[in-house]
Amino acid sequence: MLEVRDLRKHFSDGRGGEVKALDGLSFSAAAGEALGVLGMNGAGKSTCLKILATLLRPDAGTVLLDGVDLLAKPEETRRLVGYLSCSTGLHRRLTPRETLEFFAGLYGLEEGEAKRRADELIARLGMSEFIDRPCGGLSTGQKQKVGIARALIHRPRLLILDEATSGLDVVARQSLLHLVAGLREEGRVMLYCSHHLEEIEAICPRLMIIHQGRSLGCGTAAEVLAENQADSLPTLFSRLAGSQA
Amino acid sequence: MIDWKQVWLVWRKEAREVFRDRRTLMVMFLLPALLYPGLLLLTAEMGQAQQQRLQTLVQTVGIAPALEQDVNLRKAMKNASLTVLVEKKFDPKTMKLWVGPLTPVNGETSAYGISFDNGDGQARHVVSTLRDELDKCAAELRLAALDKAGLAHGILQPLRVMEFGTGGKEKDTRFLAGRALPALMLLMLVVGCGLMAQDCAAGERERGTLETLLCSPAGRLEIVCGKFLMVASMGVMSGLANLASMTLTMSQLKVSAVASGQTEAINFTLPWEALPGLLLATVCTASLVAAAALLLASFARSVTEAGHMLLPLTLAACLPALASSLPGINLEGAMVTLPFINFCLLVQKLLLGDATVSQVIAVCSATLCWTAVLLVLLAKLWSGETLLAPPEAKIFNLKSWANRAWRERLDLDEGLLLIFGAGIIFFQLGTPLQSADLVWGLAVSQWGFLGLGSLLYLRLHRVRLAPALNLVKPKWPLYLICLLIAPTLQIIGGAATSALFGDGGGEASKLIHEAMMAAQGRIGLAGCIFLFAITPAICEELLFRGALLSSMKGRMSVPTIIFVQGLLFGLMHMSISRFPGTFIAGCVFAWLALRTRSIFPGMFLHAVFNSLAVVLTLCPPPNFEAYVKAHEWQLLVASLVIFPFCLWVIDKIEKKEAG
Repeated sequence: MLEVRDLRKHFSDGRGGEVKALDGLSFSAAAGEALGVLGMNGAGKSTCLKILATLLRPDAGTVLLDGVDLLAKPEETRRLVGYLSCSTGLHRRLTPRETLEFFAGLYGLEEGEAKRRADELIARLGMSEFIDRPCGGLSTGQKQKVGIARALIHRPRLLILDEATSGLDVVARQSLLHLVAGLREEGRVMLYCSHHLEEIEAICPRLMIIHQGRSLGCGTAAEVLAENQADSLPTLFSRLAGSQA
Repeated sequence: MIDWKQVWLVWRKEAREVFRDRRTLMVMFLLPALLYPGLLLLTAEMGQAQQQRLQTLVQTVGIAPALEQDVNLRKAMKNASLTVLVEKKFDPKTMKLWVGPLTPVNGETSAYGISFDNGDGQARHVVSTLRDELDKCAAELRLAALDKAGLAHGILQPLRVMEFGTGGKEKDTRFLAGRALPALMLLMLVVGCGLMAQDCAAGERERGTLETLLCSPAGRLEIVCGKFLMVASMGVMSGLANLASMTLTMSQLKVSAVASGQTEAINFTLPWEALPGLLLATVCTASLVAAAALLLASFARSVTEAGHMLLPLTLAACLPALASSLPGINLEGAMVTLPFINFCLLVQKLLLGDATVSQVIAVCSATLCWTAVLLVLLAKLWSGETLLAPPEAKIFNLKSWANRAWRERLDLDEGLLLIFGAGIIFFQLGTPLQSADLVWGLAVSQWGFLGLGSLLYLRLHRVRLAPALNLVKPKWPLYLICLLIAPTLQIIGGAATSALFGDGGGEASKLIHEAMMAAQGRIGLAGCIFLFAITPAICEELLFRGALLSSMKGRMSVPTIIFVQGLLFGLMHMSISRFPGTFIAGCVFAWLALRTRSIFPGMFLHAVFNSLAVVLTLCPPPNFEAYVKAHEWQLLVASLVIFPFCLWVIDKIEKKEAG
C-alpha cells in the first residue's frame, strides 16, 4: 500500500522567487494496483515521481510504502523502489547483461542470485537476442525493455514508470504496454505516468490527475470525471489548459 | 562507514566504460606514448638536417667595391664558405647580406657594416656565421699586435673564470628535465583526469544515467569515491605513461646523439632510486587533480560545458609549474603546502637526487589534505539536488531585459559578473591611473570603478539599492565593538602573513609605505586617511558586502558565502603576501554584514582597520615596531581571545534583537 500525504515541493526560479511544483499532493494506491498519473506539462508529475524515487526531497509531506516511511532513510528505502525515467538512463558502453548485473550488485543481490534474476528477466522480457550488445547500439524499444528489467532487478515494492513509451513506434508501444500490464505481480504498487490517455486507460484501472501541483481526483476514470464535472478526459484537459492560459 | 563493495562496483563500471571508449584511450595513452616522443624526435631530426643543409648551402653575400681587396673580410668569408658578389648596395634578390665599410674609430684597423633582411631567418644565420669568423680574425689581429708590442696575451684577459658542475653533464640534463618534466606530467594528469571527470559527471547527467545511479541504494559517498578513484587511476596511468615515454625518448635522443658523435650532448636517465618518490608524488597529485576535475565537472550541464570549466584548471596546474622554475623558490615553508608547485619542486629534487624522505612525506600529506577537502565538498555537492537540477542557462534578450521588473537583489551570475568585471577594470585601467598619479588614480579607481560602478550596475539591472545594499541602521554598540575588533584583526592578519611568508610580506608593505609617504606630502595625514582608509572602506564594501553579497544570499550556505567573499576580497588586492590578511578581513566583514543584516558595521570596521594601518605607517608612536616585536606572542594571544569574544557579543546582540 502506497500512501502519499500533503506532499509539497518548491523550486527557486533563479530570480529570487519560488515555483510551486507540488502544493499539498495526496493520494494512495493499494498493493498490486497500477495507478495512472496524468497531467499537463509542468503539472508536477515528474517532481512527484522523483520524490517517490528519493531523487528529490520534499519540503513537506510523508510517503509511506507498506507502512515504511520512504523519505526518512532514503538510502535504505531505495531498495523498495524501482524507477524508470523517460530517458531510460542506460550506460551506452555496457551491455544489457552487464547493466543488470551492475545494478543487482548495487541493490545488494549476491552474484548467483543476481545472475538467476537477470536470466529470469531476460527470458520474460524477450531480451536474449541483444543481451550482449552495447546499450548504445540498441533500438528505443530494446532500450526501454532493458530499462524496465533494470528497474525490476531487485523485485521492488513500488515500480515507477515515467513516460515509458516515449519515442516508440506503434508496434513497439503495443508490445511494451502488453509487457507493462503484466508487471502488477507480487503485490507491487505500480505508478504509470504518461501523456497518452488511451495508454493509462488500457493499463490502469485507477488514475490520478495532477494539476498545478495538486490532485484533481484519484479513482476510476468515471469517478474522476464526475468529481470534476466533465464528460470526458479530453474535455477536462482542454478546460484545464484554458484555465492555465 | 563506506561500503567498499559498492565503491568497487562503481569503479568497475566506470573502468568498463572507459576502456571501451577508444577515443578517450587514444588521447590519454597514445598521445604521450607516440605523439609527443615522435614530435620531439622529429624536431631533433629536422634541426640536425637543417644544420647540415645550411653548412652545405652556397650562400651569396655582397661586398662594397671598397672592400674587394680586404684580406680579413675575404678570409672570414672563405672560412664561412660564402660566395662573394661585389655590389654597390644591398639587393635582397641576389644576396643574403651586404657588407660595407665604416669609418674606423679609436685606432681600429677596419670597421664593417652588415646590411641584411632581419626578418629572414637564413640571412640571420649567415650574419651570425660571418660575425663568428670576423671575431676570429679580430682575435688573431689582437694577438699579433700584442706579440709585436712584446706584451703578454693575458693583458687582454686579466681574469679567467671556468665553471665546474660537480654532477657532470648528467646533472645538467636532470636539472633541465626537472624544469620541463613536472609541467608535462601535470598537464597529462589534468588532461587524463579532465577527460574522465567530464564523462563521469557531466556525461552521466547529459545521458540521463545519473538519475538511475542516484536512485539506487548506493550511497552518494560511495558513488563519489568510486568515480574519484577511477578518475585518479586514469590520471596516474596517463601521468606515468608520459613519464615512461619521456624517459624512453630521452634515451632515444641519446642514442641518436652518440651515433652522430655528440657524446656529451644528452645524458639523461631516470634515477631508479627516485622512482618510488616519483610514483608516490604522482599518485597523490593525481588524486588532487581528480578531485578538482570531478568537482568542477559536477557543476557543468554538459560535457562541452565541463570542458570549458576544466580549462582554468589546466592553467592553474601549469602556472605553478612555471613558477617553480624561478630561482630562489625552494621546497620549504609554505611551498610544501601549496598544491602543484610542491609537486614540481619535489620532482625537481627527486630527479637531482636531493629529495629527503621527510620532504616526500610532507608534500604527499599536504596534497592528500587538499584532496580530502575537495572530496568533502564533492560529497556535499552530490548529496544535494543541484546535481540533478542545475540552474538552466539564461538567454539574454535585450528587449525583455529592458522591461524587467524592479528587484530586491542581483542574481548570482550577475553578482559574479560584477565582481570579475570590476576586478578586470580596476586592474587594467586603475593600475595605470595609479601609476600615473597615485592620489587621483586611486580616487578615480575606487569611487569610479568600484563604488559608483556598483551602484550604476545595480540600477541598470533594476535592483533597488536599499535592500540590495543592506542600507539598514544598526545598533550603536556594534560600532564600539568594531573599534575593538579592528586592532585584533590587524594582529591576526599580520601573524597569518608572517607564518606563511616569513618576511616575504615586507616587500609589499614597503611599497605601500612608500606610496603613502609620497601621498602624505601632497594631501597630508587627514587626506591620506580619507584616501587610503575611508574611500576603500566605502567603495569596496558597496561592491563586496553590498551588491555581491546580495546575489549570494539564499543561493549559497552561510559558510560558503563567507569563504567565497574572503577569497574574492583577498584576490582583488592582487598581492600574494597580503592575501592571508585580506582573506581573513574579507571573511570577517562578510560575517558581520550577514549577522547584522547591515552594511554599515562592516564599513565602519573596514575604515577603522585601514585607518589603523595608515596612521601606524605614517606616524607610528615612538619605539612602536620594537614594542610589537618584543610582545608579538602576547599581542597575538590577546587578539585570539578578544576577537572571538567580540564576535560572540555581536551574535548575542543580534539574537536579542531578533528575539
